[in-house]
Amino acid sequence: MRVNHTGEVCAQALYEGQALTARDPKAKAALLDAAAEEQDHLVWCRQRLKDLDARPSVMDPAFFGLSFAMGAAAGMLGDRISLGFVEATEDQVVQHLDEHLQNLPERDQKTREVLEAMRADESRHGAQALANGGTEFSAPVKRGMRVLSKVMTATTYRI
Amino acid sequence: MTSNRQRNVLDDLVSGFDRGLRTIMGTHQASRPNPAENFEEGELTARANPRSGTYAG
Repeated sequence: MRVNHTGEVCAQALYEGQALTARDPKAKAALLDAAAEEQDHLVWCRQRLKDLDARPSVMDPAFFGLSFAMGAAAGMLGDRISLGFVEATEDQVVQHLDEHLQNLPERDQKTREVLEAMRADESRHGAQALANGGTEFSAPVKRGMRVLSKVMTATTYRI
Repeated sequence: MTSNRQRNVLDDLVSGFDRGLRTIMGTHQASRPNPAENFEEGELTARANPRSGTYAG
């Protein structure tokens, strides 16, 4: 759950960075709307961590800063690339959530409910980004992003 | 009172910074109910205990 929470911190930062440098007001509004829904995920994950007597990752501020910079850079490349980046990111998140749901203890229904609600939102955000004009990234680019996301999940799993 | 003043980059930076701080400090409020709130806490084994360092999730 700590990994999921850090993922939501990153999502907030990415969307904020992208919205800051977005050119089209409609793209900017779509990014901020998605960020508002991601705030719910952040609160739910934090609550679940508290329920499990666990703490957020100490790496969260660093990942926030890094993700904000990446989001702002993606926004500078233009709205089509930026929205494509949203789709590619959400695709990684959905894959991660699927893996987590498969490994989740059967009796942990509370976590399952949170993850399934998040998965539905993330999947919709990705589809909306493409519908709003995003360019779908190629498989090699997505594989590169997958490697980066593994760095985040491996780091925050324990600290 | 309403204002027709256009938002500028500084406004966006300040409000973005505020939201960023709330994200790091964990002070955001959810706009939707927590999906887990109507479910009972299941009994988790040591493997699923986050303090054991072997939590599957």
